[in-house]
Amino acid sequence: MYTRSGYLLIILSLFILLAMGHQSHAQRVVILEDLREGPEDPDFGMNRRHYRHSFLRLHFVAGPPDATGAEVIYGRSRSLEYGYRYKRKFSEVFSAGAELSFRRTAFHMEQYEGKTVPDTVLYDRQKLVFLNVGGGLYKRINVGQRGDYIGRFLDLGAYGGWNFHTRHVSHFENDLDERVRVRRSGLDYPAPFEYGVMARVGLNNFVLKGTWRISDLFKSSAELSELPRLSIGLEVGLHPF
Amino acid sequence: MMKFSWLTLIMLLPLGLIPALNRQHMHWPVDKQDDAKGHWVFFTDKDGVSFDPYDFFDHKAIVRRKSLGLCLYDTLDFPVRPDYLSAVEDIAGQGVVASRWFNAAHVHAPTQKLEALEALPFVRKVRSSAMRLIPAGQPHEELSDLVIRSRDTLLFNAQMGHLQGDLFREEGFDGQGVRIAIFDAGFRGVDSHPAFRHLRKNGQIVRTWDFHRQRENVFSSSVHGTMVLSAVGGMLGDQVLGYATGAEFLLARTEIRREPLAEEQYWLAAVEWADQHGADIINSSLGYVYHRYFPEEMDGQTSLVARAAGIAAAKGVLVVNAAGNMGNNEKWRIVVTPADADSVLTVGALEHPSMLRAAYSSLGPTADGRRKPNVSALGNVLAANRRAITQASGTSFASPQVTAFAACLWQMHPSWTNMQLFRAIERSGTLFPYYDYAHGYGRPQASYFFRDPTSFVSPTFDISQHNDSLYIVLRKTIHTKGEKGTQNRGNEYLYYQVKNAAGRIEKYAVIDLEEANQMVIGKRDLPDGHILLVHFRGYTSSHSLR
Repeated sequence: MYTRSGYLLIILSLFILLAMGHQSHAQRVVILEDLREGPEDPDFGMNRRHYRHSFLRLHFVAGPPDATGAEVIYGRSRSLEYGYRYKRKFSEVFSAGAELSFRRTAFHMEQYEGKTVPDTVLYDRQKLVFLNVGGGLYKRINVGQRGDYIGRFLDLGAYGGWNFHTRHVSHFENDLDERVRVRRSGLDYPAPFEYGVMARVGLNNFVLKGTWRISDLFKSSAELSELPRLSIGLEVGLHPF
Repeated sequence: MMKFSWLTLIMLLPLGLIPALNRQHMHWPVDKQDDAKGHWVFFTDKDGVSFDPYDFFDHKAIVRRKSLGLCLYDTLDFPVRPDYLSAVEDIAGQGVVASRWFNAAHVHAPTQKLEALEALPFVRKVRSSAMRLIPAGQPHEELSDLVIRSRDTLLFNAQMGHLQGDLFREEGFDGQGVRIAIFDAGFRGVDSHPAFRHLRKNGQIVRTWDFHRQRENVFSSSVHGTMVLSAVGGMLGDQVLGYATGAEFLLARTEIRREPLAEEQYWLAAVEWADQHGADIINSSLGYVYHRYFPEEMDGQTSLVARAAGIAAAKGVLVVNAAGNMGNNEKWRIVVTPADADSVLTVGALEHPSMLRAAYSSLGPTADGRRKPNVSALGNVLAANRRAITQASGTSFASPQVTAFAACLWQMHPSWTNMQLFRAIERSGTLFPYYDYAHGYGRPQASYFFRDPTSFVSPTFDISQHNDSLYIVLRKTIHTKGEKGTQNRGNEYLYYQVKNAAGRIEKYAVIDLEEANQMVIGKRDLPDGHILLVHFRGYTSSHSLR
């Protein structure tokens, strides 16, 4: 057991130790630069040998359908796509690359007498949704001298993908004046794969893109008129400006 | 089958273009804007031209050259041969801008005419000039009237006090007799703002030129240059905004604010113009970055503007340039060009109140390992805007404060050359002889030039070795709590760096010791053959592990 003065001595010693500890450790690194780490990969950059970045794209269905009966509502018929792109630079002018993406496309069908796609029934609203994973290959032609910068470019390429999920959604009022929404998936008439060509013109992060679907969206056995093949949209490269 | 053939055709289309595109100065069918693209046409010689320096140069330029013991002129000053310019103009059309120093002409020519230009027997080479120029700072928070508000008093006091410019003014040095050229994006309001009344009244704005519009009026478009001029020599009533209120000014608009790809030819033309009209100092708060260059090209040799700045320095002009605001940019933290040029006094920005590097201020070293920035100054300032007093930040506004400092110092020592002035400003830095790539030699201090040259700084710390560690022990414990955010704390930080055997800085740091009185550097941080350099409160000492 300690005496009262012993306790006081211990407390005082602890206090001094704490104070000393505080004194010797109360320091804060405000700036620290270690130049031994060396420069970043000199082959990686917007205008270097390799570059990768993700992108986000909003596309609007455009152009006429292949035949009457497959008219869509323009503006509402669109796709949203998120992807990841690789670019390999070959010269100041030429690059090429590949990309992978996930896309959701919705075709909102016009409701009118004579409509045939995907059926002849008239609803209040009706849409066909395609969820797609796919990829693409492109060639890039850059214009103008630049530093480590994307600059102005023209891309020409092709894309393809798997429509892994399709859905038909219709809205209507039934005989009981109830609003009904019917979703049907696992449709048997969409084609499982699609492919097409694309062109892009871009300035740094901002890209205007057009695609032309060469393949049909519906199986030939379904005997459905083809939906519009052209889409035009904006893409934003998710990388520094 | 037919669809597949079409796909193949589309994919092969670019390949078909390759042979045509790989020819030099290829024909480019889709780029309509290419017609407006700028190119430099470099000539082979200046044979047969005549040149009279007394006719060409402003009297002030002659005086500067004589006082610095420089040749009145050299072949760089000779004009470009007029027959060469005529021949280029015949091919490229009007709008040719000549550069004497580079013996070149800048043209806006369609690419199909470039082959014709290259084929001229007196053309050495043709190269593109498109690039983007970035003002190194942005104005913000406009105030409604022309007084310094109480909430801005601390900042304003720091702005006016951190380089000790009052000492110059007390001794009667206000830059009188020194001519300063300012290159910027525009000087809107300088012709009407009260902060420049003294300059207008005394005819201190000697010449102006808008290199884009080819006219004298520079008082429209951007206010960026207005604020820079304010930080050099603005004055509101008796209140000085920049210390060089007695200097003369050449104002050059060299940047096109709204054009995304401005061109370096204006900067080059302006530097020759400034030399012709007797500029002693050039302040450039602009810089070129990744739009045209790679970081590894920031070597002071690659860009034309860096080389032009070097020529200007060789002709006796002190070129002061902002380090750039790329410090936060992960892909480009290095100083911009022409701040990368060896003989350019590159100024980094400090933040208030810490007086440590502002996060946006670009860092050194240059791509070839040279020391940049050279010095630093406060990046936050109060400056005259078009109609008001505005708070602004950026290395753009650090640079003019050092320019004003240099003008006062040059008035004080008129016999110094530009490079003597350059070195003296570095030596007057708060950290000198300590140096790091964030602050350079620190803030130039006017007191350095007024104090007893035999005076010395007493040691503020000791370094001792115990086992495998170095102990840095302060001679006096600092007590900074309660002072934070209110005072200039720049002197209260401990700076240290580790140099390798070749003398290159491998690591540097700034430590806030708060209430500690020592710190320890271990063997891991200081390998054999490496040197530790420490700076605290004006005292610098080095040590190595034995």
